[in-house]
Order: sequence, then C-alpha cells, then structure tokens
Amino acid sequence: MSKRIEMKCERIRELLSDYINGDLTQAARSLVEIHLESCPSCRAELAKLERMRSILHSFQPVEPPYGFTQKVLASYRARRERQVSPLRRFFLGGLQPRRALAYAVISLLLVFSLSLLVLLPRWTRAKQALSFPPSPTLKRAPSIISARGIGKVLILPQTPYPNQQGILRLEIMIYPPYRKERVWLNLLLSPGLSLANGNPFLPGEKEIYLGAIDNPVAFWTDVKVIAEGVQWVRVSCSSDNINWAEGFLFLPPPGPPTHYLAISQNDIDAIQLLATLVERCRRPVALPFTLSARLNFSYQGDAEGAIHYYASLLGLTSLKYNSGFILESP
Amino acid sequence: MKKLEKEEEIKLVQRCLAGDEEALEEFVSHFQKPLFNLAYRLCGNRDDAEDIAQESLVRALENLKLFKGESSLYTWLYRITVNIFYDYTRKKRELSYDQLRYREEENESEVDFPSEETVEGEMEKRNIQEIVQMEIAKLPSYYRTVLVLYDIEGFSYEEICAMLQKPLGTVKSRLNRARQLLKQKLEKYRELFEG
Repeated sequence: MSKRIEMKCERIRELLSDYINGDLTQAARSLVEIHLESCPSCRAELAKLERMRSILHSFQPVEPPYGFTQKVLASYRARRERQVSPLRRFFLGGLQPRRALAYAVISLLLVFSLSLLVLLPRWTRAKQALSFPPSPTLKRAPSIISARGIGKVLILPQTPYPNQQGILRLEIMIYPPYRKERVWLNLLLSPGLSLANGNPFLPGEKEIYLGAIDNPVAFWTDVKVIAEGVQWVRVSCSSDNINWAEGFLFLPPPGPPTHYLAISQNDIDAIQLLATLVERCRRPVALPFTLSARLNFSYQGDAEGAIHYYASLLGLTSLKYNSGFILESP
Repeated sequence: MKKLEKEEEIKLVQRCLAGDEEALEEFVSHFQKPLFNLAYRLCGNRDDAEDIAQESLVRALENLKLFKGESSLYTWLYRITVNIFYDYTRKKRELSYDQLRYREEENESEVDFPSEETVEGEMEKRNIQEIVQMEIAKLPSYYRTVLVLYDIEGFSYEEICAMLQKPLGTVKSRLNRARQLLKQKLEKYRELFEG
C-alpha cells in the first residue's frame, strides 16, 4: 500500500467514530462512504467499531445490593446527627431557655473534664504511634492482601515470619479516599494471634480513635503468634459506624506449604476474605476438583453473597487454603 | 423507573429540604439505581460501585440546598458521582495497590494461573459483556467516563458537556479516543469480532 493511501486511511479512520454517531457533515460523510467502498481494511475497522458499539448498547442495568436504600439513609442520618450537638438535642427538647442554658453549661464542663480524663491518654498514645513514618520495608509486599471499601488499608509485615519470641511487627497504612472525619480504626486478629507489648492500642482494646485524616497515615503494631497454623489480621476504618476501608493480611506458616487453613462455614470473616480474594484475582482461581465446574468464580455479583450461597448449596463444611484455594465437601 | 419531570424534581427536592423523611427515602430509591449503574460501569466492580454510589447519594442529600434547578437533577447527581469516581481513581493510582499485589502473587503463588496469551480460552468461561467491562475498567478515567456516559448510559453530547463541564470538542475527541483505545484492547479477543 502506498504511503498516500495509508495516510488517507488514517484520516478516514479518525472520522469513523463521528461517522457512526451521525455527526459528520454531508460532504465529510460522502467522502468516508466513497473511501469505504474501495477500502476493505477501513470497512473492517468500521465493522469492529459498530460491533463494539452494539455490545456496549446491549449492557443490561444491574441492581444495587439488597438493603442499599436503607444503608444510604443510615449513613446520611448518622452524618446529619453528628452535625447537631447532642447536648442541644437533649436539653432544648422541651425546657425553658434559661434552665436549658444552665444545664448546658454544667454538662459541658462535666463532659469536657471527663473526656479529658478518659481520652487524653488514649489520644496521646495514638498520636505517638502515628508519628512513625512508613519504613522502607514496603519492598516486601505481604503474601496476600486484600482490601475493600472506598479507601484502602494495607497491612505489611516487616519480616516474613515472626522472630524467636514469636513477635511480628506489622505496619498498618491507611489511605483515606478524601478527608475523613471521626475515624475509628478497628483491629481483628485470628485466634492464634494476640497483641504484643509496644502497640498503640490500650490494654484490652482493639480500636483507636484517629480523628480527622486527609492524608495517608501509617503506624506499626506488634502481634504475637500464640498458636500454630495460618493466621490472619483484619484492620478496618470507619466513620460514624460506616466502614470505608478494610484490609486483610494472611500469614502463611513457615516451611513448605503443608499446612491448611480450615475455614468453617460460619466463619464469616474468613469467607469474606476468600470472596474478596477471589474477586480481586480477576482471573480464574485454580480449583483442583470437580466442584470447580459448579462454582462460578468469575461471578460478577455480590461476592460474599455468592460464596455464602454456593457454600450452603454445596453443603460445604470447610474451605482450605494452601497457596491457592481448595474447597472441600463433607 | 420513569424519569421525573422538572416540576416533580423540584417538589421532591423541596420536600427533602423541609426534612420530610418519606421524601428522603423516595429520593434515594429513585436515584440509587442509575447512580449505582454509572458507578459500576465506571469502576468495574460492585464493591467500589456501592461505595461510590452511596457517597454520591449522601453527598447529594447533604448539599441539596445548593441544587438551583438550572440543570436537571440527573445531570447534577451524575456530576457528583463522576467527581467522586475521579477522586477514587486518583487515590487508587497513588496507592498503586494492584502492582504490589500482583508482583507478590506471581512470585509466591504455586497455582498455575493462565497467562495473558490464553485469553482465547477465557472467552468460553466469561461472557462477552464481562470481558468488555473488564477492558473498559482499564481505560484512563477521563476517556472511560465519556465512553460510559455516551455508549452505555446513552446520554447526549449536550448532557455530557453539562455533567463534565467540558466543551463539546473535548467530549467528542475523548469519545473518539476512548473507542479507539477500547477497540485496540479488545482486538486480542478474536472471537469478539468474528461472531
């Protein structure tokens, strides 16, 4: 093909998108049509664009998840409630203004001094811990991470395995999608893990108040391995009881992959983890036996729902993990 | 669900602003499906779509008094959703989370995942729409938005210009470019164009 014809084809192809939209002037339209009559390769391009457009037009609407309306309303009401002072709501409901004012002043003083007593140690501890910058260990990504929500939480172990005392240092990195107010961080550990000394959490508690964050924050916490087998850590961030980010870390046991993580049918967190992982893979997950044919892992719907549904349909009692997923029937 | 007339839109907004709880529910249930669909087509997965649609609706309710009725309520709501989607892609890019994860999986996983070349076999398992949706989610966000609004959601140029607050020329050239890019991405699935 001569250079001139190639250039012409190139020019015509730029017009094809407008051509199928019917956006060209009569003159430009005729020019394209005359060229198409004599050029099979441009005709093929046009056919591809038209085929693609017909696929896009055939997309069916999807349904929002069950209970979505109520979830949105709950989130909206929670945010609105926060904007109205609880004191004002409580005292000004049906009281005389003067008495209400007196009540309000006394309660304000009381609440202020109490909150200082209760929250000050907690805030200072949280702040101290949060001043740790992310360390260069980012080079080693965790063996499996997954995340859910509009923000992101990453949990990165500093070393692949715990030290001789069974202690493992985790970096927790929180990425808010935009400025988030009243943020609580919640930590959930598998039964084989416990919090070691040297962490921002108060004894007996597994959540900390972060306040408002508009940039990524990172801090570390030490966990101690107290039982054998695969362990997991889940960290979630919420504002006004609405989770906006969630991260998982799966810690395989040391040595060759002979251990399995057995997940019972009622272990919702683990099943959610599996579902999230499967979804995040975005490619078929190798399932080594016949159930794979019946479990559609490219399912586009609600992943957790699908796993629950299929698990109950198949009467599954356990899901095992070993560098891949194995589903076991009873 | 049928589209609201202009007067109905204004009435609904006024009832919401007056604190009518029923109106709030009506508002959410009326607009949740179009916004969820837009979010789903833009980001390509239900989890993120749910978060984006929820945030859009909550933010719309919080800022309802700013809605002056100059554009249609749909245009206004879609604009909010698109902006939240842009925030989401920006954050996602900063995090480059997927790169971290895939690199690690490739190193450690012993499961034999299919390579990029075996996409033909994948066609049997996934349906065409899923593949196209997956490839759309890989387009740069500005192109993706125009393609989704025009070719999937079926909006006119005029409506898209109002939503994105961009001139007609920009919208048209983004659409053209988006189609070219998507076509290039889909060419590896030969059956798609043979069928």
